[in-house]
Amino acid sequence: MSPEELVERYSDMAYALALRLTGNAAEAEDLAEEALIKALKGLPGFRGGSDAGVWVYKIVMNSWKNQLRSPRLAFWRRLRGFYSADKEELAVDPPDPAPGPEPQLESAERSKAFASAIEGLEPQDRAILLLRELDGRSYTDIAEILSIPEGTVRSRLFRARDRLRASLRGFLEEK
Amino acid sequence: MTHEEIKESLSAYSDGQLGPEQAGEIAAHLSGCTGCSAALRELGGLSAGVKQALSASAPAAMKERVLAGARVKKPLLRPAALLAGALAALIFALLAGVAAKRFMPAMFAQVQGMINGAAGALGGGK
Repeated sequence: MSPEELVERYSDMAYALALRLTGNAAEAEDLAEEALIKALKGLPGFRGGSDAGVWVYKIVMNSWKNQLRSPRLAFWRRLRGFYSADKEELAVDPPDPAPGPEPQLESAERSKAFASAIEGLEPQDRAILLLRELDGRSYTDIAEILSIPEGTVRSRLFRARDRLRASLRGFLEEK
Repeated sequence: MTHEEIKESLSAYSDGQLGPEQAGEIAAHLSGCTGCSAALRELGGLSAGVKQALSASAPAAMKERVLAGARVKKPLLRPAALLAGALAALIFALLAGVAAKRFMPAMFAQVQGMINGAAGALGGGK
């Protein structure tokens, strides 16, 4: 796999994962960039037979864990806690244009409710959900990426979905 | 499996992550349990909304920086290390000169004479 192929194939997911872990677009960009550069530098030593996605996402997870231990970033994170302005950072892309203003409004409301409910989950649960829903990763892959047992992936995914179902019931019943 | 265990396994069932035996047991249960069937449908609706809410595209500038960053090779010595090295060498040369003048005056005078001679020759050449 060439560096360009790796970036083309995994940068969106690496960024999405970083975004759900950090909850902030600027930090996510830094984290994904750092992880992808690490991956590219390690690419010559990467075994071709194994799953490059698992390897790249694992680097994102480990870089995030290292950042959490950084006192400098912890300071900025605490400081940011005083200002909730970047709550908007996790807002999803605007919904596709709907036929009329009413359905469009409903769709926007639904998207906002989903974004807000997901934001209420633990960062690692958001990561598990993202790897499963967006990338279709198996529980075995997710367990390897997060370095946790497969049974934990299963139970955390169940609990995360259960919480989302409880807070989004109104939107799910309409469907 | 109890009803509660089945409810808790619906998430893994909807992901197709259960073994054939467990999956078969749940499929049989679903045909007679409206509550679990409704919960499974809800999981489907949830999945669609979650996908939309979670998707994000990496900024194009970030991709370019990643490729550029991976191409950059680290210099053997950073500029700060080079400067520190040059300063250390200068201090060492000055200290060596002072020590030579004090403890080896004859050799110091000889070296000084050679330097002066060379400087004179260069100056005379102009």
